[in-house]
Amino acid sequence: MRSDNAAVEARPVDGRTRAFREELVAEMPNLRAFAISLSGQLQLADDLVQETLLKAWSNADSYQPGSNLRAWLFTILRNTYFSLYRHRGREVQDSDGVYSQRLATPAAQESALDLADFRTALAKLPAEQREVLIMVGASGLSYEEAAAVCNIAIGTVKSRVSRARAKLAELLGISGPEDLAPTPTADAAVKTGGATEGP
Amino acid sequence: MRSELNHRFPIEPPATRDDPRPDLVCDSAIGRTLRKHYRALSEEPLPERFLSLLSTLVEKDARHEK
Repeated sequence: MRSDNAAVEARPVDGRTRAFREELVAEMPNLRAFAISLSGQLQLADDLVQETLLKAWSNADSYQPGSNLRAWLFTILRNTYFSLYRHRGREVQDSDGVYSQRLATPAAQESALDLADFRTALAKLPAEQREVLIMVGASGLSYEEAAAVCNIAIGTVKSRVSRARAKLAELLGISGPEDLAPTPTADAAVKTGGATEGP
Repeated sequence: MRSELNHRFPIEPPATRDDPRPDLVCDSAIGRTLRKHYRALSEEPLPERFLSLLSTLVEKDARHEK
């Protein structure tokens, strides 16, 4: 993993450059969350984020202002991850969820326990399933954007998401349809075209 | 690297009844927990080296401009 920026060519500093920097800063939390979820290792995730920032900066001219920066950054990060680390295996290295225990959790103990179990199960998913589940289920990307990020068909994204959810349900011992089906709140939001947020 | 940068990602249109947003589709127990997980990761303090890196890049460009 490259650790310096010696290879990054200097570019004129103008308003667009500063705006691009601010956009990168704003996307850092999402980028890091995606990297940790994908790789399962904090150190590796931070290296991936750093490498992604360097590549994004070097290729800023390729980015179209107003387009989806998050999807563009995710594309760079996941391509870097799979090109460098795919040989290490399909599951993340921290399949016991050790990294999860180090992360901040909500104050409620019950939620913390739920999250610990969930993270352990999430880490056991194949990376190809885990990445699309994170993208469309948490990071706000559409199926179309996730398909573009992964360079696969939309139908493949949907099937991977479906298999990921089914596998998580199996690992977490969830069998009731109420745990897998959209809630009434979500259904109402879909009917009205509005947004909703989980508790 | 080149191929990954050739993608363009327009802002997605609003969700419709026939094409609900994925986060709504995933608004189940698993979906809610997934978002809790992601939100917790997003709220983790960022390593200082990220901001330092960007500052260094901006400064490098500024020096080059002079």
